[in-house]
Amino acid sequence: MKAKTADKIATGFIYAISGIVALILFAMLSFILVRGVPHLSWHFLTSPARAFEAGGGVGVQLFNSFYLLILAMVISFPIALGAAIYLNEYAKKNYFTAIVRTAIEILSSLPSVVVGLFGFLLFVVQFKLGFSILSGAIALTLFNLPLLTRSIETSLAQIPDLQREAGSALGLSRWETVLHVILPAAVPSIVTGVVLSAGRVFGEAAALIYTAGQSAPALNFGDWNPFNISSPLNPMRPAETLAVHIWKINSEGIMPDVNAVSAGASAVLIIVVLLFNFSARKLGTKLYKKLTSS
Amino acid sequence: MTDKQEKTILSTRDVRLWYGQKEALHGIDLDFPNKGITALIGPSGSGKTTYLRALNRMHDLEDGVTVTGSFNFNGTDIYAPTTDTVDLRKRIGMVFQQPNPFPFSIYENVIFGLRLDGVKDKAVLDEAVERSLKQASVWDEVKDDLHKSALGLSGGQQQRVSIARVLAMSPELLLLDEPTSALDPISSRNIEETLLKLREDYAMIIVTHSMSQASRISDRTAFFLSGDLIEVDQTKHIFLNPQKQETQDYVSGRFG
Repeated sequence: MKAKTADKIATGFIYAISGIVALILFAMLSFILVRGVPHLSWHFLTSPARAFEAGGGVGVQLFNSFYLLILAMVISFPIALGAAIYLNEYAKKNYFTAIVRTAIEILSSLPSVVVGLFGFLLFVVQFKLGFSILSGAIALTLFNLPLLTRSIETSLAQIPDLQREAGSALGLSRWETVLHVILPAAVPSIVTGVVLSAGRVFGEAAALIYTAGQSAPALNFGDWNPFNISSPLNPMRPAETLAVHIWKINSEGIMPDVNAVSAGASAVLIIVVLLFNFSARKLGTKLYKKLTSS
Repeated sequence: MTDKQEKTILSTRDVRLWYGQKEALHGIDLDFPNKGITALIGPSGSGKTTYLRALNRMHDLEDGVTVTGSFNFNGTDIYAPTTDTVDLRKRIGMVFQQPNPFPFSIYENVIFGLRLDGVKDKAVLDEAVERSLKQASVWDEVKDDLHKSALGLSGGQQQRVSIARVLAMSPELLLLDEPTSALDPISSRNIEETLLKLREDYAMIIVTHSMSQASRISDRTAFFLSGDLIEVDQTKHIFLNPQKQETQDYVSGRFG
């Protein structure tokens, strides 16, 4: 009887704690969405920001965020994939592997503002890349690489050793086993990890303030030549992202509708991140179904 | 003597194996004929699976395992530095305790090895799929679902697809590591019937915990105990008239 009472109390306690966590998230999300969603309109999502007058939007910032995200992913995914394959499939337990693992752990716990300042000193100043999308993408890569490597490594580790043995026993080399058995089997979970990390990268601000810059020059969306300065694709132009924009207008915005813009931009950011999170799971399950019954 | 050598597909002498410093096999001498089933029996930890996995160098995948002794497989020295393990494992197929189909369709599973070998001709692949699945006695059950996932099959069907996947590579020798121990009795019986059919054409070595299984399907039986080979003979001799006291004790169920 006593054990039963204790069990009830403990269970209730755990339920309460989980409930509080869910409640906090729900309260934060609804606060941001209730404040921001009324300000959203097609005009807000597509027009450039205005520094001194009301009626500006976040179109350029939104585009910058996605463009930076894609560039950062294009750079970091192959590196993370290679590192994860090495760590999970090839690495023996030795001194070198231990150093690599520790390095990844430390890199993943670096505050993003430190990554940003490092990027500023090295890429922006030393390599003379300036405040540019490229500098920002490299800084985001540094920020993203350890997390992505970890997540891909976990995906690979989930594939049972039975599959590796089956591959070897069929006369596959280790590389063939990785390429034709392990990777295809891990694709759904890898994709889920990539999309989730995309959500994190999309909301990152501190690493970008000093690398991609805090200004968003007007873009000519009719000009897709990446070498023209006003082209949206030019990787050498400064590019304030949505998250940086929110930070900036809240600290020094002087437009009359600064509160509305800030609330709207925050809502957009949250909605996109939520979309990433929900689609990650959907996409993973869908891919798994497709791949396993080709 | 010449006659006997023609019939031997694999001959091992003084096989010793160490996990780190610990010797797990203490010098095994065993020959296998090129047709029929040899069963390896013995209690857990007797070294029968360890010995089996040494035959296609599966221990290469683990750290700290040392193997010595001579292995003559149809003229190939299995552990010679020049022996290509990839090629070797194509000639010595292996079926595991747990069915382990790849997460692809049944069709892709069976032709997996052939495809990697560069076979592209659809007619050849189709033929190999049908032949292998028929040999593994699972064709009638899956022929309408060849392009569905192999993971959707029952455990027994998955195991027979795993066997078909190995047979598609046309191996010279088949190693089976307790292939029915994870299956229900009906599926086990299906696998046993499959093996009995295959024994006309293939040399097979099966590790089994079940003495009744060994007596039902094998031609010869080898009894392992604590890393030693105690006795090897015709299966009926091992079960009815063993020469060693340990074998007598084990097959009569007095220990193990």
